[in-house]
Amino acid sequence: MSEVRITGVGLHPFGRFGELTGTAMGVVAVQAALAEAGIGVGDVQAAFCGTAYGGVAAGHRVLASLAGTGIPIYDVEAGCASGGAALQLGAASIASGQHDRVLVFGIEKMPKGIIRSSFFAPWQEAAGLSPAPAFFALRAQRLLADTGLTVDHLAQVVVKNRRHGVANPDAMFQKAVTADEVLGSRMICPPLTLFMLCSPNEGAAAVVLERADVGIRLAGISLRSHLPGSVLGEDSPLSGIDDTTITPPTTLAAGDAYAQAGLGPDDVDVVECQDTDAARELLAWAELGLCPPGGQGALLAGGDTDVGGRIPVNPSGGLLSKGEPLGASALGQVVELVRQLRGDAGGRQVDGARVGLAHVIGRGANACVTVLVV
Amino acid sequence: MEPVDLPRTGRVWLHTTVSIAPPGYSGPVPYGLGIVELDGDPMLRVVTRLRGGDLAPGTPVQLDGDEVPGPDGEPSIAWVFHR
Repeated sequence: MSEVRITGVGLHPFGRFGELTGTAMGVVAVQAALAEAGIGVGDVQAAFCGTAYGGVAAGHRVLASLAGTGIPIYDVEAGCASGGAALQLGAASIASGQHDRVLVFGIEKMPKGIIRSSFFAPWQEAAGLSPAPAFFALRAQRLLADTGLTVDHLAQVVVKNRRHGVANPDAMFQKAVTADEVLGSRMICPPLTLFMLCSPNEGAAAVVLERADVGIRLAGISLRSHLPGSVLGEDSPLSGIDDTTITPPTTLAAGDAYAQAGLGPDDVDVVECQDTDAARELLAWAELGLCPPGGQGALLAGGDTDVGGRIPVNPSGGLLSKGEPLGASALGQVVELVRQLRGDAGGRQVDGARVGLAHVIGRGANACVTVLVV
Repeated sequence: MEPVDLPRTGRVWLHTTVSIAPPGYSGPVPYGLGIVELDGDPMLRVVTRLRGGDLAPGTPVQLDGDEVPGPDGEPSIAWVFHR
């Protein structure tokens, strides 16, 4: 995949935007990415749109608004990893020789509150068996019990990411919080408080991929799902609850992406990872090889994952600051990393970053890991 | 596929509390939700409602039913475990 490069990125901020449609947000992101690449919509040979709630032919609506139809347009759904799945397909279409230049974008417009998902049958919803924050909470409890990490560590993740988010004008929350505020915010599902959970929201992100000699190199990308054997894996994004003897999908995807790039966790300079909740980020650190299981506390204590630390994680503020528009979130991470690797990340710049890693995981335990190299 | 009888007793593995009604649910809140390891071999884990307090991991629990509105609004029975 060494010839696949990102030559343009664009973003519609993540937040809540009233009557503005997901299509309109997608148009903003796509136009920005095309402009950066110095091309028009007629110059791409295919488009891949990640969205979970955008409805039928969501990507077509965006491109129709730009008179960009006639090309193959693929709408891709893989839960929280939808944008990563779209990116992987787009990259593969170039690596295979099918296309020379494609557009990949993600759009989402979601209501506030607990996500409703057709993943669950109506009887499961009616029985109260579907709330995602409860599953996140169970996974968090397991993490704390297995590692000796505490709710204070969960709060420190939120404090870090919200502090980073202050410097991100595209984030929904641009205000720092204290650990006391995190722990004192409304209890949603013990041990997770409101501030420890990201907000489903709205936004769009886009990238232009080309076979080129310039641009940020897409050095590795892999989408994986959970292995069989976990009775829980089919029911919810439970990777991490029951995976002590089963390799989790994040680790599978990371192994693929590192191998493709010829790199390892020690080579990574900056990470954007799935912080659906604070515990999810801590799990990801170990699953991605940034630390051994249970080593998260030492990273936090040393400030290693802060901007300015040894291996900054979520300099954008993460989903805890940006919110999570499902189809757009993975590509939002990629946009952030491209800006970091170009040295264009302003007040949240990770100095000298040359290798970036993006990670998402969600429904179906779909996990996508992307490695970018400048 | 054919129905099988599962053990009606087990032990709490994980337990949390849901304080906001999720979409599609119109029963009472807060309610307990967690995972119970059923007695027997092979051991099975089920996602289930949990009733009552003092449900630390390892607590023995038994099966019962909770009446909640079904998808059509009519009363239905959801499985629940309690001490």
